[in-house]
Amino acid sequence: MSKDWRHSHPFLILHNLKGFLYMLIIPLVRGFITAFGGGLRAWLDSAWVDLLVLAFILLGSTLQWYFCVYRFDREGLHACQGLIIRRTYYIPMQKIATLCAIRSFYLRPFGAVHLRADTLAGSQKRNDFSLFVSRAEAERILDLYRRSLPSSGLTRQYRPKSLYVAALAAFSSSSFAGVLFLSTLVSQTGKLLGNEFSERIYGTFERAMQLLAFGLPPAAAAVGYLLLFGWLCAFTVKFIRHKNFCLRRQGDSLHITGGVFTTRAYAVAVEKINYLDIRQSVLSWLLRFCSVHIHAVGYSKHSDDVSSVVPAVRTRDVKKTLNLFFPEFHPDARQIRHNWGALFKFIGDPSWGCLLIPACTLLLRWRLPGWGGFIGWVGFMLCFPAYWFLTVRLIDYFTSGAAREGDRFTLYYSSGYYLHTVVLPRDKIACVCLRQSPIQYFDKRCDLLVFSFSEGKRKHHIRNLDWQETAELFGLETGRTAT
Amino acid sequence: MPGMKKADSRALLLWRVRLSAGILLCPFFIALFFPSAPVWTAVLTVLWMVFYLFMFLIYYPVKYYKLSYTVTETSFILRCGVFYNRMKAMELRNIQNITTSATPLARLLGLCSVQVWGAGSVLYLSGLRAGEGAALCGRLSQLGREGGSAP
Repeated sequence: MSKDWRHSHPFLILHNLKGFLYMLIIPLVRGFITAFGGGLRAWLDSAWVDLLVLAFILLGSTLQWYFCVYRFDREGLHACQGLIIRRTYYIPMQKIATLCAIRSFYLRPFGAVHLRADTLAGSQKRNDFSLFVSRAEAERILDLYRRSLPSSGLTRQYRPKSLYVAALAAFSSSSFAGVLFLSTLVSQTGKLLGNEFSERIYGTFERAMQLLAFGLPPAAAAVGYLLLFGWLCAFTVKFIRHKNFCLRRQGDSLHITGGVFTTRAYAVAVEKINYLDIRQSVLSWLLRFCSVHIHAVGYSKHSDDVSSVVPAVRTRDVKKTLNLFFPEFHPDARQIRHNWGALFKFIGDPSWGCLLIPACTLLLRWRLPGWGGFIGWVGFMLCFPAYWFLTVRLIDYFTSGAAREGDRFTLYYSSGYYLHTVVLPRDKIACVCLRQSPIQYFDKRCDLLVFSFSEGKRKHHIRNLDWQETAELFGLETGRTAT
Repeated sequence: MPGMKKADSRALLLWRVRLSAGILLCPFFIALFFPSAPVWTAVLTVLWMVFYLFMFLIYYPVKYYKLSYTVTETSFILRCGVFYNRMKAMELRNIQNITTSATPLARLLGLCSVQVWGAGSVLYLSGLRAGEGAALCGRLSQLGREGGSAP
């Protein structure tokens, strides 16, 4: 082995242990058999089997670490790993889209950093390559990667105020994600500390709800407070993740850092950015705020990643901010848009929820008068997302469309509860699809589906545009055939 | 639309033969699972026959009628759809790879399918003559290497 090859951080030994955990079934089964058969004496007599299994697990994990070597130089990342099946990896430097160093709170005592590399190829959910390295080594690798990208020497830095980070966390936090996070946390802690702990938590919650019901049915109050508390949790998690956020643009490379307990550092090549997304919720649209996100392979790949590049900015300042950091991704004013008669195309989907939920609530209240209070409250709560969705679609009706300036496209549309303004270069469009329903056929309209470069499918959907105008915008006239 | 090429006429035959072979499973399973339920047998038989006739007489002919493609200076364009009209386009310089495939039945009829892969999307064109499929592959590869000229 050449002297350039390095071993991964020894934390990998601990990390590898999880791959051998299934072997603990042997001491477990032996414990059960001896407990019912020979008792403690018999268990002690063959305790060497357990020790042997433990030694095997430790040895296997250590050998895996020993045989995992890597080299990161100007050419790219070379790595070799595997005990029985030897695998060799090579990722050329220019093919790396995103390089990310994560220093989680549990890695800090060991002085280790989790380094992840991603290219346009490979799995949509997993990183193309990841390894544990020391902090100094992570900085060396990130620095090497940054220096491999063209640099003009001019550096711009953006460090948002905590208020803006809080705004991002507030606008993008979901109650359900928070509730899910909370319930997982309580049940997992219950598993570790015993069921009594989780039962005590749930009991305290129940008593608190009875006290805080303020005239509402306790079950309905519980649902309301749970959603509110869930939202607060999601907000806190997101705020902590984006605290200390810093965006730095140097030449053609982008450096993003953030986090309190777990610090994350990303290095992204600007040419590898597939598109830029200016995102708004209804609330941020009303308050004239927006957040700016980028889509690059490997960036914001996992749910706990930093997701934005500009957490919150006033709508009137967004162009100025983008000119400073992303002059290549300047949004243009709408050139084509839907016809004004397309209202039902926009509000059709949410209308079902808006009509059916109140109708079902009234019907259930009539059929089950004893549960009237609870059904009314739940129905009222369920109406919120439905009418929220309707509001998003109504705003979308007034704002959606598309534009082109040279080789740069701007798409205005809504998806779920968010309004998007997507700016993408022509060479990052994987496929364009014009879809025309039988109804749209008669007035020569179509839905535009743009699939951008991605490891999986990434779709942008604009409704009810004129077929001819859209085809012309994307240069899809079929008159000129290649020879 | 001018300049669009159609799939081979034998594609319609291939789809219909495939459908006819596949639909034989329906009477087999009905006979297997409902041997002594004449009402269910009658209902299910009517259902699969309606489905078969719909596919045979309407769905596949419309699919064949609407399926066409062309290669422009910059893009590979595919028109398809039965209930919906779809026009899909992939820029030649963004094509990642191209594959052709053929089932034994398609080979017997001298047909093949072409899959054009982009990063995050795929276009599927079936019912081409084998020679035409290979030529299309070669042409797309060549134009893709040249990068496609900007309009």
